[in-house]
Amino acid sequence: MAITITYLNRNGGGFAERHTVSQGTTIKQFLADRGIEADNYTIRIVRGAQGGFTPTADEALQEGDRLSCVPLKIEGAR
Amino acid sequence: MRISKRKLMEVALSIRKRHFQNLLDEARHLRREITAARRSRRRRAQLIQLARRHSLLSCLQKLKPKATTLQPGNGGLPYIAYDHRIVRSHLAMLKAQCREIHTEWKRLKAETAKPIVANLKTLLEETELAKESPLEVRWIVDNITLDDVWIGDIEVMMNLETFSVHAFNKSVDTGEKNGYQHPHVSSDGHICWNGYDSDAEAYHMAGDFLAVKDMIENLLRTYNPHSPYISLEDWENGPSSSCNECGERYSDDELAYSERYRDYLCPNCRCYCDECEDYVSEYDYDSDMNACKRCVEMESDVCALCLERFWHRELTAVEMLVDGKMETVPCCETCKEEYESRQAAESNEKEENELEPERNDHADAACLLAPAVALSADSQ
Repeated sequence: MAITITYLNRNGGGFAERHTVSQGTTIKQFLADRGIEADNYTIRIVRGAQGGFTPTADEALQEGDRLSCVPLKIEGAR
Repeated sequence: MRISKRKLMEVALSIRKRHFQNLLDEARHLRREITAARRSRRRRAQLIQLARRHSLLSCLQKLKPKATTLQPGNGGLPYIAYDHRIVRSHLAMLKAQCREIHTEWKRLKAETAKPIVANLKTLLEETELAKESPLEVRWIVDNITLDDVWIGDIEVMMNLETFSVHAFNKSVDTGEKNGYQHPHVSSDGHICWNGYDSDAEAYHMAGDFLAVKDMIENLLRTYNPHSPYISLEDWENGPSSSCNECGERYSDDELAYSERYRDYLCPNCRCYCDECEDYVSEYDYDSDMNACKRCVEMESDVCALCLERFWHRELTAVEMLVDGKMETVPCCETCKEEYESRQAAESNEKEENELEPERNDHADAACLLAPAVALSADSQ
């Protein structure tokens, strides 16, 4: 069975991307498929009633999740 | 300050409405762009057709490169111009953007305001409500250390209704840091996003405030040595600036401001010009005249006699015979005096010379008269 999540990352041109993944897909698997090293990002999931939280690598994605990956190094300027 | 459930839902719905409105505006703008691109392409095709029909080879040749077209110029004469809208890939890109917006629109329509409410709830748990109208939250990004330099605690204020973020340092006296709140935050609290603001604004527009919050925190904890408001070295040791000439950094006390360069010069690179009362670099300084080269060029001249350079105020205009013509030339005081005394001596000599023949005339007359006198004496 497949679930749909919203994935927010900087490569999305600012828009949130919709992804359909198989049920039980973990954060680790999802990020690995996209070549994302979790150590270099602030990762959060916003899930309906539960609100936002930082997931563990083994956390399974659920229908309607909003997953955000924000790079740890964001260089500002002047 | 706490926010009621009703208010939370109201805010979530207004954010959703704003998101719809922004998508609509963007779609309208893209549609206008697509129409303009199509019009440009059509116009170029017509121009080529016309040129072919009338065998205008030169025109055809000029319209051959990609995206070139004819534009009406001044006086009705057309000129060849590059119009990026003609390129097929531009139109394709606009269409792709339009499709993206359409997908986003459909996705947003299918969604309820629940994800925004969930986002807001967590945000309000992690932050403090600063204002209810417009809804604004604040939080502290604590103990920021960049490359072993302690920056302190930064209070961030974020407006949830419009994209407006301010950050203020709560730990250090920013007066000692030229007012800067952080190496990447200006004195009035504006974060310099270095281009990341478009992402942050898109997240903000969609109600993904937690992602914006994460972005702000990660930006404040990252140092970009290539473009800070204030370098970490200056943050630690007090503000300094660099010399315009050698680029070395000096404390503000050691540097002098040059009006000419509109920048600072260090003690090793600067010279003071008494004429224009400004600092210049040694390359722009004339050490013989003890002034800047510009002043020397504008305010000085060469003495016509000794060929030394003097300030205009030290020179006098003297009339003298130059190449057989009387001319007024600049002359220094010494040369002028010498010239005048020489002139006086010459005129005295001339006068004497003019008197001499008179005396000689008398003598000659005496000589001529002498035999006669002598004769007359003998005859007597």
